[in-house]
Amino acid sequence: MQSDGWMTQETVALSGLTRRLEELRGDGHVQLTLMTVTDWLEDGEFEVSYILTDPVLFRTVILGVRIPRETPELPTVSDIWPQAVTYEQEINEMFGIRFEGSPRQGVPFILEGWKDIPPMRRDFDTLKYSVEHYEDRPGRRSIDTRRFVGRVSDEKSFTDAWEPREDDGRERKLADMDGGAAGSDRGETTDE
Amino acid sequence: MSNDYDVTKETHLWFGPQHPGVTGNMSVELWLKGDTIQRGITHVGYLHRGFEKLMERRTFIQSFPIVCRICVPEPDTNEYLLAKGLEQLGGIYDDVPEKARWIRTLTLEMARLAATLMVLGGQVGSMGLGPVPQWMMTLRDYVLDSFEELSGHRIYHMYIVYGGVRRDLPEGFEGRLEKTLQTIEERLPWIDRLMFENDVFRKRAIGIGYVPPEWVDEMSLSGPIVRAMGIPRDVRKDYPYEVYPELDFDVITEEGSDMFARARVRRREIAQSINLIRQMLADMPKDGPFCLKLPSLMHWRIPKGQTYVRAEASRGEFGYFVVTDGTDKVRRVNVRGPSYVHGVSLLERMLPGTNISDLSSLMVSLQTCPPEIER
Repeated sequence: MQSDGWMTQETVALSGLTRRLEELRGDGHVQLTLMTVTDWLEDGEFEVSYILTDPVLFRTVILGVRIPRETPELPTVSDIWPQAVTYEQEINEMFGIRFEGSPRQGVPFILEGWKDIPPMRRDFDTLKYSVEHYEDRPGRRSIDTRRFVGRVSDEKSFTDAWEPREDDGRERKLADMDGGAAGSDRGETTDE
Repeated sequence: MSNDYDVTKETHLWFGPQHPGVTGNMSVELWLKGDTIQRGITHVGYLHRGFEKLMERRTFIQSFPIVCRICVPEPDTNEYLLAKGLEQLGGIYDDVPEKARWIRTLTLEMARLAATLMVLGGQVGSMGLGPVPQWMMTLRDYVLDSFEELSGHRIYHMYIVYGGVRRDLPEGFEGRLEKTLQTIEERLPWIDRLMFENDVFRKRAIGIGYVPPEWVDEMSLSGPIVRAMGIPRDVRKDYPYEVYPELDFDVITEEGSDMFARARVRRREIAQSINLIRQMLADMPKDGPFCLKLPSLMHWRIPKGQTYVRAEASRGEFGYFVVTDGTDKVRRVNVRGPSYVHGVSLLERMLPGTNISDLSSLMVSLQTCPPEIER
């Protein structure tokens, strides 16, 4: 157990979870402020954290319980704290942890028609998913302002370091709009 | 024979996600008899951008432009809590300069003021009264002008970072902010007259949207909803942070626990925020550093640890659960917005028996904000 001012952190084994939660509740920690999960992929475990608050003595406990990633199951606390239904529904969807006896398990909360592994798990590859599911957008053409640095002060040594990009005529137009004078200075990058 | 006017026939109706009365991109699925709601379910997912997942792939400094987008009306609370969580875990929270603490508190209070102005306007706007929301949005815009001057941005400020704040107060800022506060103060009697003395608002708010006090601990409610029950709960007093202990203020409470009481709490909190900002401008240290010198912003590694930090937003208790694992990225951030409880569990529990015409003002009164529900 580790204490930091008004906040205490402790961990409990899965078998003692319900009893410890009820003890803490009897001790004045009557509010379930937050319920959350951390994925410790390298340890093969999930850590489910219950943050309980005592609104009279202003104490907070972070109660953590480690469960194996292969069999992620926990008893529900929604019979004690009704709003835990939403937390358990979301954790079930985002991490694939099942809460025994909780209503709305398996009912979509945020996702719609999700077929992949639960997306908040650390082994879910977000980049791979987006490459597979979304088309690559061509993107907008933009002007790298660094190419125009030194036009006024004639800092050639710095600006020459930037290679000209593929010419689409847009930058030339920009240079023309600049009064034409700029062409003589930085023209080599836009006119070629 | 049953027809649409038959009050024994149950009607299935979707309220939102595209509806002017819904607070943001969310929807409520309703079952009605006549115009009385029998039951309802909150649906979210129209706005999910996966902020918490995005942060796991970004360095600490890169996470700041993400967190502020969790709340449009009040982004500073998010920035502050992420900064505080990282500072606590990195062991530098106690070293944050004194001036930075004052500026942070000033920013948080300005954000509370702007958000409260907006929601109070929305409260009567949802009842079809036009001028008050217009004035409120104008007044909020003056506060946003101050934010723009302070940070360069109107909505998402990215001003509070770990170690302190990004910039010092600009020259003459105090005077211009004071002028804004005076403008807001001058308009408040108008708003009282048009809102709280208005029979339309009184009839539609008094006794409507009652929340029983026994639900507070059961569902972990917070903010103006609790204070409107006469229970003095405020994170600024209960878990003092930054320079709030040095400021002189009382927790505002009202009796009644209905929409009117909650609107009264918010109206009085506007005056309180103005008072607090004035106190801060007067007492703030004029010199000194505004940010801690950090070894490297881009390559900072924080040892393994976890913490929960909280602050009082305009809607209630905002909390961040931050876990670090010794790398330059967070292992897990979980955002606890007050709407997670108010907008789903509490709203669904309050729906049975509510008249459908009161639903939109009820949602404004609970200040449900979908980005907090689906971070």
